[in-house]
Amino acid sequence: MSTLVFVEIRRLLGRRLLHWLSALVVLAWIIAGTIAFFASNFRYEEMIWIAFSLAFPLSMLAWLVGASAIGAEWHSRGITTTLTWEPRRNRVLSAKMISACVVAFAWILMLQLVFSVAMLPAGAIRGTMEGIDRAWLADQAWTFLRVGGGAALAAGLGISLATIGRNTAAAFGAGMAYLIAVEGLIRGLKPSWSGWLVGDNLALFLIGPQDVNHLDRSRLTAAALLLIYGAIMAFIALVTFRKREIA
Amino acid sequence: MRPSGLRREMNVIETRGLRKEYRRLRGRPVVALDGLDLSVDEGGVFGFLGPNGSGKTTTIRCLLGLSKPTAGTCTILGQNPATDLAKVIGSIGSLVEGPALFPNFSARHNLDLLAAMGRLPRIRVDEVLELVGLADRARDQVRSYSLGMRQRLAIAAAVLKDPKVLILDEPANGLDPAGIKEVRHLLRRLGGEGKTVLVSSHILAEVQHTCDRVAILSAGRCVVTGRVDEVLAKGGSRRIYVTVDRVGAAREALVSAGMSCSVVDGALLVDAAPEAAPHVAMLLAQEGIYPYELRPETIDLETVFLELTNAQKDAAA
Repeated sequence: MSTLVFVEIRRLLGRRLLHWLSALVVLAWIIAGTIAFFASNFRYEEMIWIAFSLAFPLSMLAWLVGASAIGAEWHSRGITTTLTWEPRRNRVLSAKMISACVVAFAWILMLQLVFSVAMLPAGAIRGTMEGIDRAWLADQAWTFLRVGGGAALAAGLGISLATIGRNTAAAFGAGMAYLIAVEGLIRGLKPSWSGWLVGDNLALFLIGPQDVNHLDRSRLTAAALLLIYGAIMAFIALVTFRKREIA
Repeated sequence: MRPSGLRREMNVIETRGLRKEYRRLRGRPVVALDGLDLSVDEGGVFGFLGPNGSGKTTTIRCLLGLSKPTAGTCTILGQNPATDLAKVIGSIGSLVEGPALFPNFSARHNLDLLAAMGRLPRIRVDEVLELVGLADRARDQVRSYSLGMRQRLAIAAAVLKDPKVLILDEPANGLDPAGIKEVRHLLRRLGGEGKTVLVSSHILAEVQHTCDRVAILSAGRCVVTGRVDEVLAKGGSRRIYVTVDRVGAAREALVSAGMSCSVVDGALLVDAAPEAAPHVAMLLAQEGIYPYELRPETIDLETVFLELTNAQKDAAA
């Protein structure tokens, strides 16, 4: 199993999508850092709030990378080749899911670190580094890890949906449609159900109960609920994958 | 060399009453395999022939655990592919319905990943790249390859494990004549080394030259199987091919002796068994006609294939 996970991580890291997205995001970070440098008196202490605001788009990127991890295989029929080397489908899909989550976690963590570095000149030279102490650093690191965790979950959901739909675009589209349209509607029409929504629980997990207080639950409870959702989707994907005829 | 754990009497590949139906939203299910019985014993090259839709690829998919049979059984190296394929997958190399590799990766990267999955040494990747003639282009993206080069790469992936059983679905697709010849030599060599090679193909002349045994499928059933010469003997009408100077006079002589014959491309085709050749020669000699050539008409696999598959279609109709 560890060999399979290792191979899948190598496969994911070799994908052009990941390279292109990384290049685009880093370019965006450099532009953001440059604008902050010239156009504001940037308080580096506020990085923590920027990290929260970046969590959703970064999770969407992780979702896309996760979905394409298997979507591309369906498209290229590489899954046929994979299964003629390892016919135990549970193992194959589990390895793909684990590797997608691991890569998404590490990738998003790295992008956040790059962003921190890109914004550093704006704070250190033009703005202020006031309030940056050991406690702030620990808090920031914990935030980055949570955003990375959210991204890993998003990648897991993406790969599950792409396994069911056999398509990256369908999985990404379905995810976006659900999070924006369906959850938005539920939030508007049935506010009492918001405790069950992925978006609200993810926000609570990332930002914390003191700032997302309408759910009245702990960060741990929100994380557990999100993990249960992820496990349910993964289970459905596994069952579908086991039964599927491979062309 | 005999695969470990395989008893002498056991077939490497065996299907019994294999049936596969594909359900449709509307109408009756499509029957891809209709009770296929097939036995492939160890060693040599086995040709798997049949018109489009006859069930060749479906059989291969069932053997590789990619499809689940609706009924019947199949085994490969003594294992049921639906449940126990993992036990023998290290001894099975395959190419199913054309190359299925990552187009944005190089040939080497694709093979490296497969080698890592099979825990094979990297040197093996170099060997198979050399074997299929892609060593010089190994670092180029697969998307830049021609169809023939992709096919070579897929063959390289299939032989990477140095498998005991090699299943190749239309391996000659997209290859130029030189490539086809190379694949033929490769298959013959592997078959000669004691490996079992099952190859499906539409290029019947190629199969006739490459394979020791064949099976012909039609409408999901095996209509004939056996050694190539046995299968050739089962098909085709029995005629004698005669080349003479005076074709018209020769025809008259044979017809007046009660034989049926026709003129094709300046030669005579006499409807008679090969054993009647001396009698035909005698009849012609009596008229002062001496043939340049007198031999049983050559029946090729294509003729047998068309006769048998058309007969099956007629029977089904």
